[in-house]
Amino acid sequence: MNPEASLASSEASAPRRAESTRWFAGVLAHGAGTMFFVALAFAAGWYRMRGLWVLPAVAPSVLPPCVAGAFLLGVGPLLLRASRVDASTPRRALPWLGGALVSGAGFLGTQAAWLHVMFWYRDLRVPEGGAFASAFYGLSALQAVHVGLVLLAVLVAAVSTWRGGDARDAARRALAGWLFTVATFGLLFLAVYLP
Amino acid sequence: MRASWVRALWTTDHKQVARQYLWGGLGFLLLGGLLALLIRWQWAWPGQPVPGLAWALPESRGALTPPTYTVLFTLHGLVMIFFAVTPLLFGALGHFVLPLAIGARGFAFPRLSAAGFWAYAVGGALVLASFAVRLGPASAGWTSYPPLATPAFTPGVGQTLMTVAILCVGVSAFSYGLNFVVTVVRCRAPGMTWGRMPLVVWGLFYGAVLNVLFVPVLAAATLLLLLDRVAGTQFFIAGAAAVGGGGDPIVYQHLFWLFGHPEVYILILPAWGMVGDFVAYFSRKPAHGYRLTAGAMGAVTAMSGLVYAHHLFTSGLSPVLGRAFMVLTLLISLPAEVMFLNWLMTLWRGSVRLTSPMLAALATMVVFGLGGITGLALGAVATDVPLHGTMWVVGHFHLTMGAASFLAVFAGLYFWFPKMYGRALHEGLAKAHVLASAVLFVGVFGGQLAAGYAGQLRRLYDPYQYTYLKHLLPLNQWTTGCAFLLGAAQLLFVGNLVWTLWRGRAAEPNPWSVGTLEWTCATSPPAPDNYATEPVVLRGPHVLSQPDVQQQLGRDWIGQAEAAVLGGTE
Repeated sequence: MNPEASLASSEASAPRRAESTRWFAGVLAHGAGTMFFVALAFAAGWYRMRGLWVLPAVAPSVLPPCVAGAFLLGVGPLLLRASRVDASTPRRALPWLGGALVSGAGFLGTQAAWLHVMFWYRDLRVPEGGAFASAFYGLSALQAVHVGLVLLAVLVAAVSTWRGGDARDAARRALAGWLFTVATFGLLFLAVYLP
Repeated sequence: MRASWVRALWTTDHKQVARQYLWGGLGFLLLGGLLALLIRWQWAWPGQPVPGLAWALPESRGALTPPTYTVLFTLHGLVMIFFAVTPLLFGALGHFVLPLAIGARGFAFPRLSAAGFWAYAVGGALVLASFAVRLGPASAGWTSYPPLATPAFTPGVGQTLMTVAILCVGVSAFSYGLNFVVTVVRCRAPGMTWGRMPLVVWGLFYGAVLNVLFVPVLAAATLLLLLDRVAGTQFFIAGAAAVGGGGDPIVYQHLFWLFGHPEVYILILPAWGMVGDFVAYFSRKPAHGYRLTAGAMGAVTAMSGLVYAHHLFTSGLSPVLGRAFMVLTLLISLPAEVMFLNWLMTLWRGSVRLTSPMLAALATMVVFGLGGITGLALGAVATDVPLHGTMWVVGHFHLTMGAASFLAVFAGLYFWFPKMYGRALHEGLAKAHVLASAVLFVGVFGGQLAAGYAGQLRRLYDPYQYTYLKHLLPLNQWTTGCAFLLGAAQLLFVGNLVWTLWRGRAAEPNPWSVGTLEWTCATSPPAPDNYATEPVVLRGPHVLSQPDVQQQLGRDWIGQAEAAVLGGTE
């Protein structure tokens, strides 16, 4: 093989290689984040099994987190679509990225509204609510922070696309982040929200 | 354009970040060491004023009061583990060596390296700031066990600052863990196959994997504790202090040790890697059972999360679980023994050169061996129950985590210092430092083992208030004498370091006559992008004393990327 051609091909593949490296790092980071939530779920499971999980008189319904979960699930396909637009027309990703942002905001809004109702109208307070209330608010907030970070990445990708950049790789990385938040929301649902 | 001081502080050059970690780690090592000497003073002369400390403790005229003593042993452990030894091994040596040893121009994410250092620096600043707050610094023990670490028992801001500081060093450890793993997987030079990596890279890689996996668990436990302290949650508060039923402090112990035991391996894996390399380099022989050693380190890494509950045998753990964790704990010693035997086989009939890094590596083997053997008694339920909470535990983990890691840090520092700063340390002083430290480590921690075997409980302010411990006073005074001599022996290193940086002679290009990339392809200190041209690796790191190399090159080593027509030197 011609060495010059090989060098040129290696230079051309350098950005792809860098993107693969970022992707690998993102997957590792999300894996580590999952360990964080597994540890939190372990704590919640412990309280449940040891009889320290005292539900309030009016137990929280699972409907609001199901609605929030639906919003969160909706983010993924939109991001997938954004990551697959044609390279020659990157701006076509904008509606999909916008949709993902709206769906993600719907998730955060539903969760915030639910926690607001539980605190102010159902009197589920910390510390009076014991381990359940602590886990309910604490773990929901931590998961929401992670969703917020993923949405921030989507917002950055959207702004970059708006300015004419190609944000397909960013959308692909955000997709990995979305998978992570879905997994952690599933853990949260099983460990805390299920009665 | 950014000011020069900003560029110097916010550097993304891995070698400069390593130097920053080195100075930070050495500073905290000094602080942690001084705290240890104060603890030892209290055990030798309980309640007696410490000479020269009256300015800090005017009310007791320099004597350690029980609250001050509690602060001392809390901060000693936290500072040594989170701010000294781990940052020195990974932050300083790991940051410096890893990209050079695999032929990379830097880390995969240089800015993450810099951010990690500054997270560590903020954590360190919080620890120092905690000395100035009302009710003083943290005082709930290095493990920060609740309920002692909850506001019910330690209401001061110092404990909160320490909790945040641990989160900061967690961010730092996670960032370099991620960076190390990604760099080793993605950024190796052409030809640097997994089987050609130096063992120290294997050690750093495995340690980094453990960081990525288990630091988040510590972060979860610490974050819940922080929420209990600042947001009024009830995760770990129980009993009379609890509101609404409360939580359970035992959960914290599980989460803490799920991180804490792998942390032992995080600290020792790079040390094992260095020992494996150095015994080969300085026996002038290929590392015996290279693949087996790397595999054994992998086996320890894989099992390290499965043994944590041996720390909880006395916490009311189910006997079935106790037996299971006992078996796993005893099993994990097997790969460690494989490594140990490989090191001995490498030394066997080698042309051993007792350089300072080699002496430190051999000393690491000895103290780690002693620590490992004394740990078997703590891995078995029947012997752990009477020894739990005694000074035996303190002696054991100081030999493994303290002495072995400390000596490995100095093995690495003596080996790579000429590469780091381009100047050669005084070899005689270095050897004297290593030998004195190793002997005195055995004196100090051997004394602790003996006191623990006699029944002395750890953390007692005045052990001699118990009649059955009164006869241990001479033993503790002897141990304290060793500790003060150990502290004094560090002046050999400090003097050597200061003199070398000020007036030291220029380092030779390859003072240890080894073939690894950093010594054969890079200048001392290396250029900002490490290598003038990207090295193409042709062979492993331990091609030493090969007849065809000696015949062709007239020396007993060959560079990993050195072009030569050789046969069978892989």
